[in-house]
Amino acid sequence: MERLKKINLKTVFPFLGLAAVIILFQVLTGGKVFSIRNLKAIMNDSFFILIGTVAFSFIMAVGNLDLSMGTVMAVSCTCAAFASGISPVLAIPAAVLAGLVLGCFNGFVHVHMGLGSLIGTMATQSVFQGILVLLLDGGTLAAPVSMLKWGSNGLKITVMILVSLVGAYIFNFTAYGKQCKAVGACSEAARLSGVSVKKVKYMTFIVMGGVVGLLGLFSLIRTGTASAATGGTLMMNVWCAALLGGLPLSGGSACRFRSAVIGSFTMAFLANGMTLMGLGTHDKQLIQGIVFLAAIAISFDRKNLVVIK
Amino acid sequence: MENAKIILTAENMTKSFGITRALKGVPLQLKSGEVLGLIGENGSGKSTLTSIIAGIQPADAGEIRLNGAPYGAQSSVEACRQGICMILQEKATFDHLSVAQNIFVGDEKRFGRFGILDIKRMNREAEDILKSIGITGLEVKKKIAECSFEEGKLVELARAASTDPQILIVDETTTALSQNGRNILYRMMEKMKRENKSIIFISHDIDEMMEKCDRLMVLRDGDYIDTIGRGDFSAARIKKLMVGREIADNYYREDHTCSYDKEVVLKLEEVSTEHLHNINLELHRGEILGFSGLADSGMHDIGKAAFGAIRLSSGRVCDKDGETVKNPQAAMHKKIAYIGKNRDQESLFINSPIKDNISVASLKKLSKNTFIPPRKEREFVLEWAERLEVKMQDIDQYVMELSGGNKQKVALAKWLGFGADIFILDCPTRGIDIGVKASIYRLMENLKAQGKSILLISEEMPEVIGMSDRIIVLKDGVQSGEFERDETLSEHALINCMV
Ligand SMILES: Nc1ncnc2c1ncn2[C@@H]1O[C@H](COP(=O)(O)OP(=O)(O)OP(=O)(O)O)[C@@H](O)[C@H]1O
Ligand SMILES: [Mg+2]
Repeated sequence: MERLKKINLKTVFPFLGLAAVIILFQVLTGGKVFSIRNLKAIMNDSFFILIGTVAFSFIMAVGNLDLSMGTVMAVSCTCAAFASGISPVLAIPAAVLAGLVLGCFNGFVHVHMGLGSLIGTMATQSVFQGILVLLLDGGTLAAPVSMLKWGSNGLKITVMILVSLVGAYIFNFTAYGKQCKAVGACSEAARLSGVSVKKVKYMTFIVMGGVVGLLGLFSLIRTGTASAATGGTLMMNVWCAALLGGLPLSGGSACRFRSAVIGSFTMAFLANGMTLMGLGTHDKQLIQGIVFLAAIAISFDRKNLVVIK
Repeated sequence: MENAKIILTAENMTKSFGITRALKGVPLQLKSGEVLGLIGENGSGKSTLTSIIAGIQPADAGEIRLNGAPYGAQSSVEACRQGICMILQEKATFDHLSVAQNIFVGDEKRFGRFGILDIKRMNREAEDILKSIGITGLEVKKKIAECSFEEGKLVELARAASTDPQILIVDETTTALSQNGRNILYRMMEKMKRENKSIIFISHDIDEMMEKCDRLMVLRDGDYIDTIGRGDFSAARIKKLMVGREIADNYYREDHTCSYDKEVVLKLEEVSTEHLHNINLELHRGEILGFSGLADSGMHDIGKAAFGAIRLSSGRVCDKDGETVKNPQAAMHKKIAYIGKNRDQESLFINSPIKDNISVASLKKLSKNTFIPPRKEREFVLEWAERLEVKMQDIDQYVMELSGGNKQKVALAKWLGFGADIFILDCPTRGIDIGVKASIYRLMENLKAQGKSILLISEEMPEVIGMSDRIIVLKDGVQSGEFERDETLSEHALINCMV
């Protein structure tokens, strides 16, 4: 009975959103959404969105944002492509390592240089972009054809489930997850409760980097190339997923892990549905922009503004 | 006095928050030129009642009349315009604005000139207001973020004074103030009384209430209990009305001997910070070491420094093995706990549930191979919330929704649950009602008996005298006196060292 009152609109909204998107496109496309072929496509889309959002949810819990993830993915992908030239297996550590290093750099800029995460990652984003251009030298890099075979659906589903489970575990049941939310709720109070605020913030960026590096690797496996366009849609997709799922920008205890999962699927069905409808890239971008705006308008906790004195 | 004009009446004030019935048909009458005291346990509805009068929130039912006419301010700004102004229990200043801007917040238009704020004039007028209520040494251009908690409260006082209210509501403010701050408030109240204006005064300090109020109105669990006039004041009677039963009088420690082990558990060596100069002190096992001083004495910095929470410009803090306490984490590792004075900003996550607040310091203890079982966490939180008698719906309730005293209990629960060997308590009983206060004092005695040590920093001199084995008085950042526990020790002796 008491629990009941807490199930308010904000909690059910993400579920409703997911259901609405599925039903809408199911009707509009005359039932094509649930064909086997399309489900595979959705899986492929949600793979990147879900894994990215899981890592991003920790950054959001702390009350931070990340603008550089798409570029980090592209750089990792490029590093993986270089490494695969030596030996395909080397692509794996190369991608993850590149991601970790760039994530570290983000952490350094935010924690040690004391820049806000938004401005900080905006700056690092353009630094990473520069690195990317240098590495690619205006062209694209191709991976050995043998690598394309790695990307089985089984592997992707396993990785997806694994990342979600590990993410959920850390987020909800470990000291680190709770400390992330504590920092987001009030960093000074967290510091005075023995939370190493700097370490926690650093860690969120490093993990984000590593995870996005992994995505870079999968991008290489999927498309066989690394180019300036790699990862171009990641950030918008992940941000939208996080907001549609109901992760508050203010961070703190209101962050729920399920938001990351629900939001990702909402986003994946949305992107897929638009493709099914035969919309062009530009139309899709416009619609996604509108969805993003709507999600931000709904999820923005105006009440919290009063508290930030 | 008896037949003074009644300026404010409230009838049948009712307010619920979900299943919590904060006010159940409470009446109130305020005469002109009087100080009406409002007293009751934590969560009895004092802040709710007064904030309704001050236009901060609406009542569910009930009628208020001001000077005979129906009154229903929709906002605090509107209430202010009608002459009712409230000083909140919580911090109500804006960190990024200057002292002057905070004093005139909401009233900046007055200083507009061709659409530009005349900051010079604003600062000048702010200075005049500060001077008129006797606040000296507060720079009006300073940002609130750089002010101490007490200075922030004084700015709120100045803000109230600047609107020249007919009715001033003072909600649980004195415990945030040191002696000189209190005197400023008392003088302001006396001046208002002389001008035939009225004050509603809330405090948990019964002696203070009996001294300052003309009438006392008692609330219990949202019910109106009784109002007593100055002639009938007696501490025992007031306590009985508040709690509903007789309560014992043994408040502080009964023994009068200074007792502690020789072992030093915490040591400050030539510690200097912005407000402290070359402080040396030793805390012993089983000792309650009290600190007393005025606002600018730097005594609140002692607590922070001992917990490793602020940068020392020189010197060091070390534990019994001579290891330096570098930061709060290291301090907690050495089983040191710290409850700060600035509750909402430093001790609590007010936008989080009670559960997250109490467990955050004990996460390490609760986890087993990184896993924190939700059941275990909830049981832990519930146990400590109940031991401190936090008045709440359940442990998932947001701390923001608790009454002031209950917030303080949550902060205490967090650190008592952590189970430290050394407790640094900065104003630990701030805003806590007498019943729970007494149990906190018993708890402190228990801790002492178990060989734990307590650094007690407090604005309440009776508390410091009543509980401490040793008392150190600070003045302008240096030690100006030291006293051992003694039956004959008086507040006078301490005050002499402070000023
Ligand atoms: N916004 C709110 N949401 C839910 N409950 C609330 C809210 N504000 C107050 N309450 C509840 O109403 C009751 C009365 O609270 P109130 O703040 O008036 O107490 P109080 O007498 O001022 O106590 P204290 O001495 O601790 O300041 C408490 O049980 C409190 O939890
Ligand atoms: Mg109150």
